[in-house]
Amino acid sequence: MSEQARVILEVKGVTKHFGGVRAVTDLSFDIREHEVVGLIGPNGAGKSTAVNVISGFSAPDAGVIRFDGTEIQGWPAHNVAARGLVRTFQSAREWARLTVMDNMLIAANQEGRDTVWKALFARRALKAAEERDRVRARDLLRQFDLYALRDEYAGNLSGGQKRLLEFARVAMMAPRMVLWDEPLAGVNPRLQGNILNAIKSLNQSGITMMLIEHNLPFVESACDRNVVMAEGTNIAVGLMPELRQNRAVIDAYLGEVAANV
Amino acid sequence: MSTYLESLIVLAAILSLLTLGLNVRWGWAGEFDLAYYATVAMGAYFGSVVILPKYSGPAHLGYILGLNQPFLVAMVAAGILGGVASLIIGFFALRNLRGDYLSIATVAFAIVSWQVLAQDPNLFDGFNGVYGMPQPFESVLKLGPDAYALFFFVMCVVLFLITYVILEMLYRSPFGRTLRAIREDEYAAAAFGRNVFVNKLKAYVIGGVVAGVGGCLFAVYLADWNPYVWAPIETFLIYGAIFIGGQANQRGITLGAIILLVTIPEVTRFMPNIPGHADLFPALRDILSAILVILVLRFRPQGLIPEVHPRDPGDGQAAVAGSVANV
Repeated sequence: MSEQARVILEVKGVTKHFGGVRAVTDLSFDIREHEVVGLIGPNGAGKSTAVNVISGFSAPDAGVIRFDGTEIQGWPAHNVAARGLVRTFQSAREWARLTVMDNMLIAANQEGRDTVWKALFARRALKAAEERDRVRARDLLRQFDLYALRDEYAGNLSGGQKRLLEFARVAMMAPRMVLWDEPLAGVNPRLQGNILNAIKSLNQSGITMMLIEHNLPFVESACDRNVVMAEGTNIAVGLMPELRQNRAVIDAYLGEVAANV
Repeated sequence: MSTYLESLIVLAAILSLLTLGLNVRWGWAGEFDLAYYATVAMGAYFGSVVILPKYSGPAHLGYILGLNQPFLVAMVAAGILGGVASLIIGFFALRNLRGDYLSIATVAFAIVSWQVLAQDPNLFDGFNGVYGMPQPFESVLKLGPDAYALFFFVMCVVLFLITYVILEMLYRSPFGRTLRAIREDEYAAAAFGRNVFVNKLKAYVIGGVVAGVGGCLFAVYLADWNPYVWAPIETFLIYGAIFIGGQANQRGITLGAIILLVTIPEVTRFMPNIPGHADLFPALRDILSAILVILVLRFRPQGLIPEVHPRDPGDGQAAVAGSVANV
């Protein structure tokens, strides 16, 4: 990854406290275009809170979040998403009583198509646009091995298939950047290779990524570099081999055993 | 057609129309709203005082407005009022309240509005209510009673069909799909760029417009609207019709309304009176309704005609390809 690539996400001095709980304190890091960055750290380090704050699901108490040149701190989640920054959740959060195909059509960028007015007075244009979305959705579903299940209710899929659907939905949306919150949670070991391939393929299509994950071999093969968080703030940045030598990272997260592997 | 059957179909059309409005809120957007029948009542009262002439009775009673306008004007006004009232209620209730809390806030609104409308003698004549609304277009058409009944029958069915078709267009559109996504998981909907609050509010207002129009029609049909014909509890019967028919399926919901809101009351109405137990059959109506709802929820929770399961025609190519996830 070239060091000259443009910074797409800049997090500076972000702080979020809940009552007396200091979930995130003075968190700062940069992510450049086309990078895949791991966000790792012990449980309770504030990783999920960081994702919530960046994606607009909660407002920071202080700090600046700049995405693609625009300050987005405090924006509601749908505006952040419309700007091209999508996040996922620790559980797959499929729209259960909608079909796999409908899940894909909702994930597609609507460009203001889902209005009452257009539903009544622009039906032909909507139909044409939906047909284009369907063609793309079928291709993506085929890539993620879900094509045969496209008419199934998403709630009926297995845990691993729900994860794949999540990736397909993100691909359908084609955002500029994704924040993955533990993409391997609930995924069996055999499927983990598929998830890794999916991440790499989405990245190659030009999508920048940050991912929270505890599976360190996975993080090592997926990420260009890692931000380590502990007690709500960033304590180190770098590649896994460097981090294994870093005293602060060993003490806070890796422990002696993992560091010596 | 027999007059009795005609009047049953009129009742079915009106009550089904009302049920379709709540279905937008609950069936599409997943808002468990308990203020629905209060919105219906607002439409009924407001439409009535737009139709009625200026009040001319004892000074300590009375109703507002009394505009002496034709039915169509009243119906449009009632629809607008239902929409505006829902916009205001929804703005506060939907902004930060989800699930149970929305239900609690809306049931509180329903109870408060019932008390205010029933107790205030100068708003809509308190417990007397509004009555004597002339039948729509009767003075213009100058038909005989049978011909007029047929006209009213056709008018109700047409109004129901118009509502049904417009709502079906919305349900099948990207807007309808956005609402269903919010119903299923509003966090994921927000993560994929949907404004959850604004879309929920839209569903709430659309439901309110239908409630207002339907309420006006219902009041004119009954020619009488007072606190005894509407109570916050009526909302639950409409929910019962949705549960029985099938959430989010308009055909199912029409069937549910016909079964629960028309057939059961009619069947129990014609049972013979048992001396000394005059309350038995009215009570039986409620008991039967409750049993039916419970049976459906137990054995067919998706309703008699479940939500339409869309099928994608596919593109005729093989399901398996050199897939990214399988390399």
